[in-house]
Amino acid sequence: MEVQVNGETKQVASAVLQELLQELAFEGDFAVAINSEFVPRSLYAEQTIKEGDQIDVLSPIAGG
Amino acid sequence: MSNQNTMSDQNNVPDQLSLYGKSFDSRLLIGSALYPSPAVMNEAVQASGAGIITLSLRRQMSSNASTVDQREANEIWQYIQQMGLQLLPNTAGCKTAKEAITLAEMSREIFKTDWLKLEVIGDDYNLQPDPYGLIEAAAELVKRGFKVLPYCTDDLVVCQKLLDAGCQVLMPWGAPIGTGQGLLNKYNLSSIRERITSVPLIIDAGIGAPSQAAEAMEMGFDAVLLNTAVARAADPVMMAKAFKAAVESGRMAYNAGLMLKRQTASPSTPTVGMPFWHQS
Repeated sequence: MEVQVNGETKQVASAVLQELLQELAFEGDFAVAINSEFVPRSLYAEQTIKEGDQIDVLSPIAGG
Repeated sequence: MSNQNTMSDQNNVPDQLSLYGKSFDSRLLIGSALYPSPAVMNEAVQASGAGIITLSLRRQMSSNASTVDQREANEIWQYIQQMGLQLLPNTAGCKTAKEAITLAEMSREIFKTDWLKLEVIGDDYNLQPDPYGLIEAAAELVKRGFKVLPYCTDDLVVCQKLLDAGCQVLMPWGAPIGTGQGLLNKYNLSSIRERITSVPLIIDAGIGAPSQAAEAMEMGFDAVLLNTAVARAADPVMMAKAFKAAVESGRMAYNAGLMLKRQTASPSTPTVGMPFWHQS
């Protein structure tokens, strides 16, 4: 199915967030929001993904 | 407040900055962005003596994780973790309360702190905080257990509303972010300081020179947060030391009690016993 990941259109096989994060090889420290709603890490295994979801995977950067 | 601090000095109790129940030796807060390299950032932050460092979150570059940008972001994050400072994640770039709240939740999970530099920006030209979105977000985040340090304008009533929302620290701007203009509206800032004595006030943004940081401290502000002035200096490490000294100097001057300004001259050398030509 087609989803938006960090602003890019992606074809993904996984229908669950935890699998999708592995499929796309995210690593290190990150936090996730789907359709602008925060998804706590404890819910990754049960969070389903549907067509057209906007998924943001954020990591630490410098800031002022 | 001034008297209490002076008493503390006399009793050799360190004049510490206290924010949300946590004490810091330094009254300088520093940003981690815009340095020439992660290594220079690390050295400059250490040299500043700051006890609190700001940082942020952005989209991870998954498909090209070996890009220079992602590598640099990882390196900066490694350095920051080793510093052992209080992390102060920001919500830079957020334009609505909803965006800021989502980013705050994500920050809390990654950085394992409920401290938050809350930014809700209302205008792209001067990156001016949106007071309505800021107050709305602050109220909700306080309810959710965040320790909110709002980046706000130098508007007394906005500051009071942020206190009503439950903020226990306020961070009015000196000038717009990255401008280096110093304390643009001293009347507003001193009004805020005079009216709000119950919580620490930090001048955040707009500081370009150590003299401006010292001035903020002399006015009775509790601390200064800056980034660009150090990061964009020709020698960021030396500039970090300069700001450290300026903030300490300004604080000491505030505790010492500045003389009052006067209109007319007054001799500093005693006039009694003046020899020669005044005697006839």
